[in-house]
Amino acid sequence: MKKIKQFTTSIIATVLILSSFIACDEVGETTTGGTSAKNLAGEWFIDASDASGKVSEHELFSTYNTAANNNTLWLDDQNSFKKFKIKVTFEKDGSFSASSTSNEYGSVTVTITNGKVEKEAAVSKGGHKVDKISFKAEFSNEPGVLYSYEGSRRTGFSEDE
Amino acid sequence: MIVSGLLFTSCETDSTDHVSQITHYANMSMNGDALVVLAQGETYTEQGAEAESSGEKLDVKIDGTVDTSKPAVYKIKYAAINSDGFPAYITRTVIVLSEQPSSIDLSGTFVRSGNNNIVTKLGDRKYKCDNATGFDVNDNKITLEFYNIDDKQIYAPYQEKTSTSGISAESNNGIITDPNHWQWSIIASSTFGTADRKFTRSN
Repeated sequence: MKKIKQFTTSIIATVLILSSFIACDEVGETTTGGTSAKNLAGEWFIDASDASGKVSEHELFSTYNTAANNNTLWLDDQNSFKKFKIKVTFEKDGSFSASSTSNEYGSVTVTITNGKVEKEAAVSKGGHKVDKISFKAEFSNEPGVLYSYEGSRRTGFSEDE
Repeated sequence: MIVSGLLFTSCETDSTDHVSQITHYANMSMNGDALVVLAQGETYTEQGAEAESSGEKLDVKIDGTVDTSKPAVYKIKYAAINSDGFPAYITRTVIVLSEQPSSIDLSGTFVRSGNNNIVTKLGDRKYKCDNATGFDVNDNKITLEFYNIDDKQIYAPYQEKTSTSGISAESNNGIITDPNHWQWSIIASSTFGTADRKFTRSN
């Protein structure tokens, strides 16, 4: 009986001591950093042309960081025109490339060359100075055919849409 | 018992511990018009503004002056601080027009990005245009009255319901380059960003 009493007392003491460490979460650090790809990420309106001229105009296009949050970036044409969503590797200077990389929207692989994002180097449809994205793409089902993509960052103003 | 007692312990989330309070911003009203247009050399009379909060009259601080000898756009800002220290503001715009008869007639059809903006003369220095941003969607075409201040500066004061879609708009201090070219930026409540908009006469 005495043993049980001692045992119970020690349990109560332990619980009391442990519960004194329980506290409401004060939410520590609230400033969140950007992703590694933040300078290249965003939405764009993009034109594509081949040797004959423009083949696609003012299509919505997205670039965003990968889950790895390293030096890779998703290029996503929102399943329009050539239909590709691929991972490219980027450098600190804003250039990016990929070699016969697999495509989330199909079996056609894509090679990206001369990819770059330039600060305020483009003019949006409504006349605003915005960032510019450009790259050349070659698709495995059309070997030797180079498509030139060039786009301007989306502003959200409906005159630019 | 103890364990089940602990189950009822939780972090309080509903109460704000009396850190939330209500503050009543000052209600402000202007004596006279929010837009005053004067000719160079005329006298500007400051009519002031009134402010009250919860029935209590508040002091109004006036910021800004008008020099009627210099054609320009002047903004007079009226501020009243409520009992909790929060300010409210209203602004009067005073346009001083050159006393000289205008040497540049801006009426006619101007073009930006292939879109027409037709300017009609309402007075020697007062005009109206029907597409202030040079846009191609009819519902969002902004009609604005504006002033040729001194044949160099151009300005459209704040106006409401300037388009079928109901946009409010004002211009910055735009530039008249010559009788056939002028540019400004429009600060609009929707649709438009603040790009420089350059217009060229087409006729």
